[in-house]
Amino acid sequence: MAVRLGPDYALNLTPFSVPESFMAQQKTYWHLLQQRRMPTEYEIVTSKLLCYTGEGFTGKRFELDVPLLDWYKRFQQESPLTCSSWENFRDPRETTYTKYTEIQRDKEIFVDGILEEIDSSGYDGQLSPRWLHVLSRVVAPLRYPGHGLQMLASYVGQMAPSGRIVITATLQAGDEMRRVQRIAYRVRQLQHLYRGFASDSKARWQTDMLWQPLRIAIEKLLICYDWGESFVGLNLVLKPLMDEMFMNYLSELALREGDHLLGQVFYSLNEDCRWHREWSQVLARMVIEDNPRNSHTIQGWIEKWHPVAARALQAFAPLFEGKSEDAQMAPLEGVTRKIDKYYREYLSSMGLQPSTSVALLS
Amino acid sequence: MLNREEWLPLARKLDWDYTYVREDEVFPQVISGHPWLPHAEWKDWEESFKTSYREYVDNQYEKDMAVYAVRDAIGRLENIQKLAAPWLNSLKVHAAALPLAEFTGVIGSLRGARFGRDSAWRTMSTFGALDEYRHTQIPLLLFHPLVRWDSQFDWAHKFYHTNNWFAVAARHFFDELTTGQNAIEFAIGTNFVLETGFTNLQFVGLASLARESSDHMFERMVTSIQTDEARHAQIGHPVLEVMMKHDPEYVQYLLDKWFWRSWRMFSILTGLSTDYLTALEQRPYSFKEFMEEWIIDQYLRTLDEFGLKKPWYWDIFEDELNIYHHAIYASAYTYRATLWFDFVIPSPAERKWLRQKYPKYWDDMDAVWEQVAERWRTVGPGAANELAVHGSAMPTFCDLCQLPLSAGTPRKNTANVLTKDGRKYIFCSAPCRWIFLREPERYANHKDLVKRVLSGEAPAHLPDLLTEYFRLTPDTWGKDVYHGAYEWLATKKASVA
Repeated sequence: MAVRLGPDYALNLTPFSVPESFMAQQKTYWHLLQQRRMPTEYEIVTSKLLCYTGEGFTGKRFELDVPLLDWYKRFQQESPLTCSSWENFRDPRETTYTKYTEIQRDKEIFVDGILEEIDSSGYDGQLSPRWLHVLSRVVAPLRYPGHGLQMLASYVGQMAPSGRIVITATLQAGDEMRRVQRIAYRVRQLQHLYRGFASDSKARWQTDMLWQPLRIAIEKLLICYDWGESFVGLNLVLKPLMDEMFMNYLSELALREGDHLLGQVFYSLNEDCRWHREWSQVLARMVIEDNPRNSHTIQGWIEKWHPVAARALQAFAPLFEGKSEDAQMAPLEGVTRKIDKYYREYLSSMGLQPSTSVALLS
Repeated sequence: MLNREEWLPLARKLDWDYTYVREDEVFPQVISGHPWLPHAEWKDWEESFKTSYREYVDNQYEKDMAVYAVRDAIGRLENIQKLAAPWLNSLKVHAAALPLAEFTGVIGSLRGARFGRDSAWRTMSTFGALDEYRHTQIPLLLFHPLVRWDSQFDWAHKFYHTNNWFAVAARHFFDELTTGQNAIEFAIGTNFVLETGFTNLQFVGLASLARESSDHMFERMVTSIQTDEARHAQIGHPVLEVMMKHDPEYVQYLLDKWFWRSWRMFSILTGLSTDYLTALEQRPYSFKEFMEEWIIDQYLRTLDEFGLKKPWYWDIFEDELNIYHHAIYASAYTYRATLWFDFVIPSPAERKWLRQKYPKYWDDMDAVWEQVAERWRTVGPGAANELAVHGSAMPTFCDLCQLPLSAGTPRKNTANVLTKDGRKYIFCSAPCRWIFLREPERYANHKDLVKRVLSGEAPAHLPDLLTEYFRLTPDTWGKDVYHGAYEWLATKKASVA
């Protein structure tokens, strides 16, 4: 036992000076004192939450040789994406947990209203056969890549080098789950009226040529383990493109085909995606400002992943161009061009640009 | 609206066969865990809660609102200031231990959300990650206003960022259990052992202590957290079921290891609160009784259910229930300036209660407290005399659990040494040594505090060690709550005189 009491225990603990900062009444946690103002709720609950990144007092990483020691070293510490302090990142929405559940609860109540209207109005009976085909072939299988996006966000989160990035990626994973579940709900509604509707979703995802380029993108991204590259490939390349096509332009197509309520559900889901783009933009700007070499690094990853994502989108182009063999619809003008423009503007807001090789593909 | 049962299955089973990459590249064993099995072996993975996102955000928002309503009603500083001094110090222990450990749970849960081997498992883990963010946030918010009043509450955030000896031990535990762990070992160690077993101690046991101590804010917080834990803890069972078919021996090892490591951590976190830092009349039961009722019976039943054996060290564990946390508390009191909360000496009435609850070894512990009391009588009460009733020799720490060597009894110490690859290691107990030897590659390079002092990494001079390395200050380092001015202690002195 370590209890040792003896005659020699008077300790000479004085004199030594006490730093002045400790003498004044402390108004907030230690790590927020230097701000010299009262911290916001967001700052209180999200600052310096990781203890292994070397940004605490100890400067230490893991306390012991954990099973993933080399994994973190290789894919996080040695990532080409660097920053002098990852702690400087701030979610532009400052999403605390309470705020997250509040915002998402409100969105879900809105979506509930739409889904109830579908049930009560006999809405699904009025959808055209060709549009039902699109719902079955294009919307229902989206659950599979949607789950892939949930896995990818979870990876970015667990490898992120600051607590606030962990949090934004975690909430993004939650949002992806939301999207998957809302689509599942919609599929079940349609199955009530149309027996066996979209029961082939998994087979379509696995074999339909329409989906294979996207499946390549998701599968390849799943084994891209450098955390910086994973973040860029997912949040600066694949998601902005894919979300814009599915959440925005597929909604437009739906509206034109008499399915205006799908667009309303997707509008709500797209609000989540907009926030994913916003926080990613803030993070990219921060690292580029911190170290201009990061711009080169990120651009390199865009060169690598943009062609992969562009092929995934191009597979769906016939759908928007009125060239889909099994669902003849009037073309929706200029979707590819609009997505290109939007993506170019998104990247340029961070001083980045689309891959030079993508123009050759279209 | 459709029933959840009707549509949720369409969102839960979303695994597919990989074509453009290999399955073992998507789920590398190093991060997915052992045993590595193709998805076909995991496809029936299922748990009973089957929460939907829609319900989740609704329920969680309501739960958060309820917690903050209680805070606004009774969680103000003036309410907290009315609580008994020992209980406030119990609060400081948990304030420090909880929030950032919960955040390591976010990382571990995200590991399951990505590398869990079935989509239903990954989806439950995604909720788990969200839950753990909540559990980080609530205590950081609730304890923040208390910093202004008592800077020891600063340790709600600071603790894990220091090299305080207990922080070293806690990081050693959580880094292995959560942040640096693969998905399978996380599911067994955290979801199964820690969350279905030991968090009952924290969140049910502590809640009842808080209620008895009139700390309704803390009670509400931990009860609310427990409702989340109960849900995501369910991830462990179905993982274990699949593993049992393929490598039951490894399952037994993981359970035995994490039960022991959790016992070490929680005997301190909860043991000190239950038997020392709660006023005698507010103790509904002893720590041992609580362990027996809430942990042991349930744990043994579960082992039986899965065809698993009791850990080989069960007799050692049962014996430790009588003494380990008492020895740790006495050690910690003796070295209280090395910690961030204050302590009390058990009064004669409390010692009587402790003797009744722990008849096997209490006499040995009682002698220690008698010695402490005698020392206070000699030097007299007062803040200035704190360090005259304090240990001075550097304690020795176990090379596995990183806690002071306090196992065994005062008469029979169970510390044991090992020489391996030219290095000497010391362990507090046989189970700690056994864990070390099973996976030395994880533990052998770690330097305990004594080795850091000897190598010059940590200051040898105690005041420097406390301030520079442990990040304590004269304001925050631990003291006797009453600075030795106990009525019973003075009375006895008077009567002796």
